[in-house]
Amino acid sequence: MPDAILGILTAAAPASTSILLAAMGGLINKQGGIVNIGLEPMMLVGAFTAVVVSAQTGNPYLGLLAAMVAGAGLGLVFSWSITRLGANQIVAGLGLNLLVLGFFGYLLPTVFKIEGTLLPAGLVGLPKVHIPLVEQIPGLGPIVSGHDVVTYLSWLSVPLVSVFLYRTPLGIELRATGANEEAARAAGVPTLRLRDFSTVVAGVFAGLAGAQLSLGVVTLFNKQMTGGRGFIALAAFYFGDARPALTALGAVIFGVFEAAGFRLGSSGVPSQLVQMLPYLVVVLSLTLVAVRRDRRVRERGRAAAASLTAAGVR
Amino acid sequence: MTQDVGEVDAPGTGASTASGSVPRIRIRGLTKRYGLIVANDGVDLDVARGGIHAIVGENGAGKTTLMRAIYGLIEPDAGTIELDGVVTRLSTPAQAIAHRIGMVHQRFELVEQLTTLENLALGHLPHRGPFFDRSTAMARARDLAAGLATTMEWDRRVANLSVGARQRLEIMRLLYRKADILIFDEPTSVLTPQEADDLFKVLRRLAGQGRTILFITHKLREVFALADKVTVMRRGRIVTTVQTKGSDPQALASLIVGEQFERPVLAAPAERGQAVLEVERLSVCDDLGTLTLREASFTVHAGEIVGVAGIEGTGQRELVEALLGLRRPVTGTIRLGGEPVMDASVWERRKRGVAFVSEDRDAEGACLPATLAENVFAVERDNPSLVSAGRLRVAAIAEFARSILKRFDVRGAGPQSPARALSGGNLQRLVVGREMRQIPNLLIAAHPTRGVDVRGIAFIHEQLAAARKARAATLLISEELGELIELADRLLVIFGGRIVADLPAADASPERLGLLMTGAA
Amino acid sequence: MVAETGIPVAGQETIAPSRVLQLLRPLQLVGPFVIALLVGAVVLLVSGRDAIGTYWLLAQQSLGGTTQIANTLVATTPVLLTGLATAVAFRSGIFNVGVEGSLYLGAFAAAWAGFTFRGLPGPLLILFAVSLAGVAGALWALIPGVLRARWRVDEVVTTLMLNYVAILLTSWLVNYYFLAPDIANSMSPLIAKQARLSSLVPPSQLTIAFVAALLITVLYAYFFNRTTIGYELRMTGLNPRFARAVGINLAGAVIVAFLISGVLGGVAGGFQVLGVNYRFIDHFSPGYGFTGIAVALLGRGHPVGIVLAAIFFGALSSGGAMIQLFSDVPLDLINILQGTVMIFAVIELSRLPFVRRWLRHA
Repeated sequence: MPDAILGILTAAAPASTSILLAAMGGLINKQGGIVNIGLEPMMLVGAFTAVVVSAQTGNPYLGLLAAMVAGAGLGLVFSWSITRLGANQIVAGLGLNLLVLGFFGYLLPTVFKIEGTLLPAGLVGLPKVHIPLVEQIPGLGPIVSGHDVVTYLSWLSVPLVSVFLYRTPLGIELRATGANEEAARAAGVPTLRLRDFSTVVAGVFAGLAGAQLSLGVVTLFNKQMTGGRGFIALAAFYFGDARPALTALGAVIFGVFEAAGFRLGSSGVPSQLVQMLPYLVVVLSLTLVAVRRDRRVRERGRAAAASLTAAGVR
Repeated sequence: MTQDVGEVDAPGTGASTASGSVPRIRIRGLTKRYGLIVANDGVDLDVARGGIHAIVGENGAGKTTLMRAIYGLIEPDAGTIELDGVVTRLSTPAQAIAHRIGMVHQRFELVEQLTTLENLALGHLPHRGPFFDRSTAMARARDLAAGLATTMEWDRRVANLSVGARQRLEIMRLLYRKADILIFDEPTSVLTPQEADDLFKVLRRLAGQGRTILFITHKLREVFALADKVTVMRRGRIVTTVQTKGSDPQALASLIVGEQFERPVLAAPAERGQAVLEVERLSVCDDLGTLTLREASFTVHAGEIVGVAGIEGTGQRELVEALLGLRRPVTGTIRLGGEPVMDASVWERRKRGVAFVSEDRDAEGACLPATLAENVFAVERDNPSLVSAGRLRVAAIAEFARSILKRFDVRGAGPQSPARALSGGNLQRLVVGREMRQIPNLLIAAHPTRGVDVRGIAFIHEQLAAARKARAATLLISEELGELIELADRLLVIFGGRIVADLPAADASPERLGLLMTGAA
Repeated sequence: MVAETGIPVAGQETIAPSRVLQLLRPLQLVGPFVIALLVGAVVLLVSGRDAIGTYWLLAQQSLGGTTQIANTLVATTPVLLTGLATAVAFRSGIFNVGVEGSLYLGAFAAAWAGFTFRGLPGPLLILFAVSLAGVAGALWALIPGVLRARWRVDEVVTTLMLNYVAILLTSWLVNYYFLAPDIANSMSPLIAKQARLSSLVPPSQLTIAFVAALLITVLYAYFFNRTTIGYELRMTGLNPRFARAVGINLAGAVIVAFLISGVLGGVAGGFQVLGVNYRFIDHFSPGYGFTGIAVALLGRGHPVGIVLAAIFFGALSSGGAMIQLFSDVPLDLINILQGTVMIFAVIELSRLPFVRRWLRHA
């Protein structure tokens, strides 16, 4: 296998972990009926919290935990503004992006006296996990083994989310809430609470994703470090039509593109074109869904017409 | 009149309840008002256990309000509901469900993206630990289906189920929650005749198991095929409750539509002019793909008012949409002044002289947040005295609006006020003024006097008569039989999406119309 | 509220409000500003800074003198135009959040015209560049427009995604095909000298672009209040069912709304190039398009409101840049204010529990 491809695949896992996690969170949120444009700020908050807590405690795992809690908190407040205060989810999401970005831009110079990157003393990153035996397999070994624990968690999250959505009562009720809130409410499902729950879960996942960036991929915090991954995650779950397996595939592909983009840049293919792909894919998939929907309505009309001629004049 | 109908089952006499003497449901003095409208006016009703009880009446009779009160969707202003002799408060659906009452609405409450099984148990999903206990749910599902002698595909997404299957699913949802009283609102309106028969079998089985079934319908055939007892409602009151066995359909139909009344003599019978609107074998589907209008054919001539009678929801709206250009018909042709207009846009048809008074004044007839002037201007967008080179002549438009307001006696606001400042009657005058400022070639008037005060109704009737005299062709859709008989030269009756009668107004009597409208003729 | 988007539009509430709510309305207009300033003040105070002093400095640096005002107006120009662009769409019932994309395409087009047609005389070149910018922005907006008109593809996500496509597309173009010969990083060649708009108030970069933006605001008001097409778009936004029934072509209205929105967005970008940057710079926009959304929301679609909101953001932006020199308050405070404003512009404060209780007793 050519080294370049191998290199890409090896880098694929850690590169796409944060996107995968955020996409899973966004997927759950979407199934609950909310399009979360605020995944990016939630990731950033998680990244920051992880760094601060890890530096304070010397324990990266506490950092992960704190990141998840921070993401959950932000998600809850964000959700309340939508479900209880009637805010438009898109505008609120855009506002949240601005607010958090501004917040960190303000915080870093003000409290930490730093312009760009926060590298507190005592910061401990996530160790790499080496799986014995597996890592010896030529070619496959480095792709599967040697990643941080969050990467493995992200892989686990795909079947877990799938089981949650399709095999637990909570997941089924969540899907009902997102698909038809009125009917779900009529059936006694606590829809508002479930929608909030889905946003909190998205916050947890996004927070964890951010922590993986600041403790796993690199070991620092920079207010630009999420680099649009929140939006790529959005692209992933739109691509995957909010279904876990397909979304995961999209997240990994888009993650590979992200990683490959920079490498390909040197070999002639512009990174911008590669980076464009997730967004174009979303537009394309939305169009396809709409076209198919139109065709189905037209077919039903044709079937009705056919039934008339078949029945003759009754 | 009542004696002719059949064996009366007067509430309070304690007569013929299926088992024991305490009725399953006893309603006393139920009253519900919406502003000035009294939807239910002191309703007394007994429903026996283990039977099928039909509620019939025209739209606005109060049937749906009554059922919603039983199901806890609305709280009555006065009156009591007793279940098995115990006064029960039913102010939310959750309470009704707790008392084993279930309701299947006309628009199903199913989540299309979930499977049949998931929808069945939604809200009460059994679980083993954190997981959905599919096998337990499935076992109960199979039991329910067997109990109804019906089959169901449990793992299919509801989106792929037929309408009949969806309805059966809705019924089973009620049973899953151990409903003992089942209420249906126009259950067969979306079913094919075959599916309707299947439904009847299921309902009979349920009644046989001791459950109590209430269903609203306007189809007398169903009443006689299915119900033990039937209650007629009119204008918020109970007219009578009788056993269906031995009742006279004709008399029942008369009770539904009201007493005989004098038909005022129309001005000299119209001299029918040329055919303005020719509709041939028009069939239209609704948004869900259900065929709602089937093979309608009729003609409207100049100087003629053709009335369309029928309970609302049996195809009139789709007809109107197809005529106006809002919806593409599945088959059939529409000709305006001899020329086919199937591909003409709404604006093109309006340019050919089609005017439209919508039955939904607030959401379609008018734009409430816009000013009166803007509402009036809507159909004058190419009027050279109001528009020049795409620019609005604001002063001219205001003056124009003022003249319309004056001419049609619209009171309550000026041209720059928002339309929502007007009362219903005045807003309708505005709409009528806008549409009938010039005598149209074809006027489509859908329930034009709905929600209008008495003065306004008389005014609108005058306008319709004047248009007729001026050789306009009018299609008048209404549920007010008096209005139809008074104004129309000819009457079409729609039932089940088909035109079941096309007769001169002289041959139409409320009784005959009632029978036709309820499919009993 | 406009029917489709649920976006508040001035004077066009669909529910007749109680008298109490009517009293609240001016509060609702000013509310988001006030809350944002409060939030900013809290942030400043908590970090040990002098809130009042900072705000005073901000006010001085944005409005405290001729040059300062001029600089504020320079920063106002792009967000006024993007605000108008977004408002046109919102009022037509279209949830277009893709003005940033049109901005980039328009900027690139204007720059390309500016450095390619060096032989053209000044006024002609400027006119050509601005027109091309408008066309580019319109064509870009046509993509989601057609998708919505033809197949009812929801425009929110498509326009959002296409923003990033536009940014990356122009980035690719400038880095791979139109790089300035003497500079290695991410800038196009400078536009011809005669294409650069001259300053009205030196040393600021206030140009006729601002005047043009004001004129366009007047046109915007005229369009919606005095033209047939504007009327049709407005009715479509207020009540699509009504619009259909009176014969307004909804698909046509959608396309027209997107086109106008795109033109304005493109022109905004074009003016930035011709008046401020004199070239196309990769990733040049600090989010003018997104700020435009806030401007449209705060101004509630009303021309005067939009201008005021645009000046507010312009003042924040230019004042914020200046206070960097005189204090150690980071520029990002502005983002905090902007984000807060956006969120509170769409929250219905009347839903807060204590407000609701107060209303019930009133």
